[in-house]
Amino acid sequence: MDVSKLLSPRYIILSLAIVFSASCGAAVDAGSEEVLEHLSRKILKATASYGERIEYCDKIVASSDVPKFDKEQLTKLKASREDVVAAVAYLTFNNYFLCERNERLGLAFYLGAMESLKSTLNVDSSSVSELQSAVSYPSIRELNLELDYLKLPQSQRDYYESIVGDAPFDLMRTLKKNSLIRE
Amino acid sequence: MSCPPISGLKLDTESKDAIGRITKNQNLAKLLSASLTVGVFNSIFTKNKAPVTALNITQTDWDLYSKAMSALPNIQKRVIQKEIDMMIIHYQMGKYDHKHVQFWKGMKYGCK
Repeated sequence: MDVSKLLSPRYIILSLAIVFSASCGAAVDAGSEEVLEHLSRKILKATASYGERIEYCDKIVASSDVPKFDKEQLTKLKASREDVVAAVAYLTFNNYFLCERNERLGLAFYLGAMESLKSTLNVDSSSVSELQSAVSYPSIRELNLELDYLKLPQSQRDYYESIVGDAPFDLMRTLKKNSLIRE
Repeated sequence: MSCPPISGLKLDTESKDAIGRITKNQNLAKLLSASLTVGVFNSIFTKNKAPVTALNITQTDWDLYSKAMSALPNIQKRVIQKEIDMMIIHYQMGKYDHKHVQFWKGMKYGCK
């Protein structure tokens, strides 16, 4: 075996293309192969960007103070414990999404492109869709959190968002600091 | 945080489902990782490749490959953390069970 072949970046990129293919050695014409290689490279780049961004957002969470709600204000707003927990829950996910949004959507875009070209490029679409659902899209639970949040009075939502802002924050530390945790 | 022993924990349906999704997410990281590395050997044995006469390994290509591989643990960790946070919220908002709460707190922070 020629060791230099193992080191070729062209083969590394093609490897990504081939694993996405329906079967090993599947027939793809030369033009499509080049497109698959190009698209695979874009996915690699988007993967790297997304990972770096996650690290950046995690650092913000680790280094920032957690939001603290004023009890008197919550009483004025008639906010129950469940209301505040619902708000903290939704905003935890939403703010993290805002932090990582561009990079996550970038990866989702190229995975989607691969999915859309699956027939032409002979792509194993099950592997693409698995990656998409795990990495790209919100779960039903997340969407339900958003629905619960939107049912809260606007005055409450305005208050929570004024305290929390747009930055990602730690869920557990926030629940604890605001005496919302049930042990 | 240290994790207190939990005796007699019987995971309910929601927790079992979440653990199933976490396990699946770990497999997904392997899938993406495999697509970045293992396929190198596939390409060697693929029969319909024209022989490459000139190999140019650019630093950019290596950097891209290295960064993508480095990103995978972060992505996997993020997906799993989301799942764990969701379970913590689940047991704070509705059905409360002390043992399940302790279990998912342990999952979030590990036990040190």
